[in-house]
Amino acid sequence: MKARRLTFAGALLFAGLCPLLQAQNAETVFTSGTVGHKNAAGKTVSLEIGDLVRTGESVITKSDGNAELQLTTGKSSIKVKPNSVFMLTERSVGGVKQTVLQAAAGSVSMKFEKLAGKEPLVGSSNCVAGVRGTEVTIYAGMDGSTLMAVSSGAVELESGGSTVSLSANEAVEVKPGQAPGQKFAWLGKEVDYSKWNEGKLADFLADPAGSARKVREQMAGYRDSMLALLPELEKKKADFAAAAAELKRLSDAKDQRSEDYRAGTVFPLIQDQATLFLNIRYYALSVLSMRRFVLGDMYMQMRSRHMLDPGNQQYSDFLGVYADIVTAYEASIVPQLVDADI
Amino acid sequence: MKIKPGKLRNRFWPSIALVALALVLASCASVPYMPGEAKVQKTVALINSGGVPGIKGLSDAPFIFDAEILLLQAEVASLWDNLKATGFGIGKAKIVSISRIGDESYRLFSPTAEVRAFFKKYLNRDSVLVTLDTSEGRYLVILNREVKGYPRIQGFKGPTK
Amino acid sequence: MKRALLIIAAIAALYLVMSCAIVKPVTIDECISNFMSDVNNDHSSVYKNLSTSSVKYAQAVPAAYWDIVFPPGYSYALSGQSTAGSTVTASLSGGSLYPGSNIVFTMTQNLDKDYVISSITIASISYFN
Repeated sequence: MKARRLTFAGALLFAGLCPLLQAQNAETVFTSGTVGHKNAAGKTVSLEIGDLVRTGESVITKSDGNAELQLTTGKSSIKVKPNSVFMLTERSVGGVKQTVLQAAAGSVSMKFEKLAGKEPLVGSSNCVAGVRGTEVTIYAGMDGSTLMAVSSGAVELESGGSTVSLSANEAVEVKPGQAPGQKFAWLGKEVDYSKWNEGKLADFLADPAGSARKVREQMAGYRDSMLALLPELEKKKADFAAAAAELKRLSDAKDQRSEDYRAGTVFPLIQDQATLFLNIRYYALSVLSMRRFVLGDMYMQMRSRHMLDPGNQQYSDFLGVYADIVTAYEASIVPQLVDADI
Repeated sequence: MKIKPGKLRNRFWPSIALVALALVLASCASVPYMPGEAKVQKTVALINSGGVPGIKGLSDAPFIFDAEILLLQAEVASLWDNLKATGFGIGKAKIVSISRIGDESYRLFSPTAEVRAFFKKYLNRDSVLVTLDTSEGRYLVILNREVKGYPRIQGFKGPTK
Repeated sequence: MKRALLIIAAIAALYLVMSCAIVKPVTIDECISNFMSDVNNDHSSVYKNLSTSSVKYAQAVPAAYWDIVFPPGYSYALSGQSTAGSTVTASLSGGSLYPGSNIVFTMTQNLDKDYVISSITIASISYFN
């Protein structure tokens, strides 16, 4: 719990160094094979050159799909490899809205020009990093692990309450719910994602319940951050209700102070609520991403391998953790989602 | 040259007949898909033989597996590969029902908001729910219009007792 | 036989024509009217009047967001609506909360040529863009 708050605080600290950013969109400059574009309403259509991918939307490539996008602000490119999911999200950090480019599954590489303070945050389901003039590739493993490899520039990565700085030709792997591992030299050769992910699958199959527990911890971190904001939002709602009642009293009395009270007290409360709501949505959608692309895959792997031996102990142990995660998810995250998110 | 009216009519009637046939066939495409029992048993035989991975496009994302939504093609492919590798088969199946997907059909997979949303968003008027009984229990399979002679498989659950 | 083929062709053609839905694009006034109707009656449908090109579209999908901008318990209405190009300006009334507050909509057309709202500003505060 504390580690998760430090992660968010750490991102806040880093983001504080960056001036206010406008949320960014990405334009599609190349596609090949089968590439889907899921909009914020949850509808998936084919991604075409020229299509704009906006905040809240995703790009999903099939086994033959590749896509390249460019951020509409600045010269930055995003390459989405086959069997991958790239999400463009937004969150408010210290009152500043920042774009977060997420590799939710598979492999996504990103290259940013050195624009002072304009780079967005990058990450996956279990970590977020600030980048500066960077070419970075993010690999999202089936067990929730992330491998972040920097070709050029610098990256400051936060996870599990710890920060690691990566320079050119350095990489680090982050397992879910844990601090970043030891960084290592990376000579710029593209990682064989299939092979790397097969390794992740082997790690998972060696200890499925253990892997699921790590995912549970990661999801719990996001959930706790979200849950911490809910009472704040409720308080703002209560403050607004009181302020609205006071405003009504002043208006009914044709009190000249009503105009200033409306502008100075009531409207800021509406704005505060909107900001909190945005952050709550960010955490809920992050958990949804892990639920869908990590936990769902884990379940499929275990279930499909044990159709003929459902009594297998490893499988039973995994199912126990899985059920626990799903129960918590249904209780606390689903209420923050809408059908369009699914 | 004079054209006799009778011969003129004979020349155009085949064309009119072809147009009529094309229009009728086009109108048939708007009738929702409903596989017969033979098609369902053909699909069961394909699953039993581990043949699903061999037919491209037969089972694709988005897919529902028990209560899990699989959005990546690689995940659906892995599902069928794993089932084939373990020698899984439905076995001898008795068709209990073949029915249109209704508003409450999702509850048979899982009575959750996510599964309800999947059914609403990713299934269409051509999606059909097949209920099969076997010695291992009950299976639910969601089928849709055919690919290479087999109904497309959009969802799978079971066996449940 | 010939008569039968003619009849089949006529029925099939009629079926095809009737199965095609002819829908006129949504105009600016219709879009604003639909938006206000949803604001007053169904916040879960408000997002359907908005442009997917807008940055905050994903944020604006849930009904809960519109409960914040247009709190329940008020009856909202527009008066003095005027349209200049793609900008619609009006006076928003909603009890003591919005007593004739200036509301500005920026409109755009989607791929279906329907007009949708790409930004909303109330009393100079941007709530959707």
